[in-house]
Amino acid sequence: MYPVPARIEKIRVETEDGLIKSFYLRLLEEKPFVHKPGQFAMLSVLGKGECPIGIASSPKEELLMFSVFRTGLVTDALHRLSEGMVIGLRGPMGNGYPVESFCGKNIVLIAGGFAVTTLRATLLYLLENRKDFGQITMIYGARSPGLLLYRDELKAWQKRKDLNLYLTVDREVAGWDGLVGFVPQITEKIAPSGKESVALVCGPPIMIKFTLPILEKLGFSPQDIYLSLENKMRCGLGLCRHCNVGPALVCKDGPVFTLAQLKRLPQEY
Amino acid sequence: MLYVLGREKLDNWLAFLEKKARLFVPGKEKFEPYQGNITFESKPLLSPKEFFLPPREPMLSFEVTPGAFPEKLSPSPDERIIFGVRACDAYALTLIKKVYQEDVFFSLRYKNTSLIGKACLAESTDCFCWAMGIDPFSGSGLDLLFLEKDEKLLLKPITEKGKTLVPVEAKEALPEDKALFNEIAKNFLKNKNPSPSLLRLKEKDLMTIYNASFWEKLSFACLNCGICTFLCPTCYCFDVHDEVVGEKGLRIRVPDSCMFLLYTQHASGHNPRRSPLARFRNRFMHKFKYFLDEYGEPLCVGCGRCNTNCPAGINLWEIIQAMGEV
Amino acid sequence: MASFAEKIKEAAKNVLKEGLASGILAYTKGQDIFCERITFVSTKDEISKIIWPSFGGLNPANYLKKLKGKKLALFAPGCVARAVVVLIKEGQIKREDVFLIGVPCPGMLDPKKLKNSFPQIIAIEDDFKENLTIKTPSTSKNLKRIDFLRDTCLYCKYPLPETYNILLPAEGKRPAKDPYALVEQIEGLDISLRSKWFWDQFLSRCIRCYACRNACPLCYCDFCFVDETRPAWIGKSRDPIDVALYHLVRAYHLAGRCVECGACQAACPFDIPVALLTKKLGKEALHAFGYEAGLSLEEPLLFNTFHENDPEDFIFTHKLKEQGKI
Repeated sequence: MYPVPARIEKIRVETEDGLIKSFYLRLLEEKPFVHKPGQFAMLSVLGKGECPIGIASSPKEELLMFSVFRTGLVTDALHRLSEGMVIGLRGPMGNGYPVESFCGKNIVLIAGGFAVTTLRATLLYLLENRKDFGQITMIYGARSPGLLLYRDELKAWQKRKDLNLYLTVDREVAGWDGLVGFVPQITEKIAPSGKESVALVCGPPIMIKFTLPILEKLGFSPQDIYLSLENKMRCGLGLCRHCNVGPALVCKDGPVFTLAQLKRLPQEY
Repeated sequence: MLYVLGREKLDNWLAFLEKKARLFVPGKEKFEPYQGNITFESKPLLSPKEFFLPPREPMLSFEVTPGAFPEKLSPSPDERIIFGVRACDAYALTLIKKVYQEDVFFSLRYKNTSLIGKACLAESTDCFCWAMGIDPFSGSGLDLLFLEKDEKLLLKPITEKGKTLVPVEAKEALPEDKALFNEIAKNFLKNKNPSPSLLRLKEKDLMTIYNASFWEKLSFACLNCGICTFLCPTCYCFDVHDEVVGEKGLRIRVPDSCMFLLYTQHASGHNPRRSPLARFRNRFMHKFKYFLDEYGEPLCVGCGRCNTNCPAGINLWEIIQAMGEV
Repeated sequence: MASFAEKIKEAAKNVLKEGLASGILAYTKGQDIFCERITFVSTKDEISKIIWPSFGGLNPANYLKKLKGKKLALFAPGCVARAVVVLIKEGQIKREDVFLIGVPCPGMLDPKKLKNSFPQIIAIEDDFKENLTIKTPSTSKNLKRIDFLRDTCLYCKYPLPETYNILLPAEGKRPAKDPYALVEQIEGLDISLRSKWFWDQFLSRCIRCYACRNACPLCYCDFCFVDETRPAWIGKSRDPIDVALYHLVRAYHLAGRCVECGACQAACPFDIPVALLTKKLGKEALHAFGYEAGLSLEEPLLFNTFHENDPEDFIFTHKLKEQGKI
């Protein structure tokens, strides 16, 4: 698959340390791009390489939005680009969340740090199809208020009656009047019931490690807990095998896996 | 349909093939362009995989200026004939094709290339295609298979393309030639059965093999170099690299090895397979369990190159047996 | 008179019995008769598997990095002892964590030299002194070891280790009279022939498997220069420029450090004369600085030290002032 040209229409610095920027892209080819929440795309910077980034925009939004954390060769190059520049894009890739199977269920979205990106896409999709789902709860935590992404949207979402949004930061900070505590502890406090519910968990390994037992205690079964894995990728097409976790390829069989599936796979992630 | 050609007419056949397409014959280290002479020693170190997953596959060409659109590249459409391929190497390509059928580069190269196989007659202690369930006389993966015996070449076209590779001097084989061919094919497989380990591996639970204790001892000697992966006719992992010289750049595909440290290393530095043991185990789990589970056969054709060329003394059979008996 | 192999086993038994180390890095049988495996032997029952290799090739000191934190014994011919000494001086291991069983080395045979002359060897008898008997399906032949030694062993300067805890009571080969003969052969070629040699041997054949680097006991960097991406010093493909850079830069990283064990060349599946590049730089280090790696635990490392009579004087400002350079 060759990359499709995409122009950076807007860049927004999300976090106060400048390490996460959101890129709003417009595809410059007529090819239709229809994605599911949870899918990702390969962003290509000619001369540097490609990196897989989760699609943070919902399928109905006009521009494709990616929130990129600056960490390596390609993400660093992306951060140096300006609005108006053209990059390449290959996608959508991966399996995404099986949102059709969530109909009628309560959804609990649990996000830690900058893993909230694909959960934003998911939340928007759920809100766009609100009547298909039961209660929607979102618990989102970051180390500090300045490291929360999508802050203006968060304010709007907190006001909504059809969504229970809980924001938390790791430690007390002046000017923050929201919850304080790590995401696993907050999840335990809010205690969403696992009955007729699915949980979508995205975050750093340590957060996941402590959140999973709490979810199991609350009655979520392993088939109803969804995790999104990250791994080193090159082709995104299931050919190069760099992203394999045992027999599964994160780019093709994932990135979304249920906890039940992960329990049968080696812990190579 | 079987044809017979006198051994002395081999050069005529090669000349005929050379007129049709670029012709490659086995050298000691790799397949080389035909230059008038041919020897059939042993398998070249580098298998014909090099023609389908080449050492450099340029995919995009671009100018390094902001906003430049890259030019999409594809392999040359020139036809090629590879002569003297072994059955194991040809079968390996059919295994790779199971994964790569949608890949534009591999498919185009596969379409443009004809493979003429030479049947293995002499016993070799190095290789074991039959143990992997392969019948080297079936011609699977080849366009044409020929056998050399008693100053005669017996030619068996396997595909439609193979029929066009038969030279005009070849005559339809007589019943005794056909009998000879069939007898040789039958005798080759006498007392050579697929390894019982393969059946055991199919039935064993994945995580039981993964968590077994033998990996530490068996992986100790491994250098984690790329010899086994690069010489293997079925290994297909690749890396993608952007190469820039001055103002021009190429995005290329190059062979990569799961044995290397960087194979699974994230940009953050996190490496799910940091230890040499983890990478060693991953390779053999893929070849003899993950691929076996998904496609019903192991990702190995028994060519023996890994065993013969491993500098660390690692024995593939020890690993397969340990995996099957855990 | 105990055979070489028996002396080796006896020494290993003693080391374990007297608790001189928690285990021994010894050779055991590999996947075929041409390749032995380096194994960590830590129990009495495994001692019977220990052999002395005819072909050897790899350097046991390379495996020290896999066994950090353990007190280890090694069988140390000259080059292994030298490698251990360099690792100690470079702060990678502590002297008290290694117990060296010095072995006067009889030299290792080159499987490629043997296989080229006798393609069908099925068994070998090695007296580890002067004679070698090979068996093929049809015959048996007596050969002289010296005709089939690895090049690095043939031109070895230090078959007897300079550093050891105990020395095996055996006789090894004598140091080469003309250790730099092969280097001088290349040096004597004019530039166009030298370029052709470099192209024929290295640039047209290297597949970037990194067996040479991974086999080298002194290539222990956690992050090799070839893996760097910011900036990417060299490309990953078989492009001749990248191949040339890889080999030349690696040789320079080993200048004054290489112990001439030849593991790099032994590991190479194409028998590329990698050891010759580092041997050339070893010769330069000897002539320019009177230094050879790994011979003395006390002598400081070459590139950490400055002597007044070093050939370059640019570090001394008063000399530069005298010369009007600053």
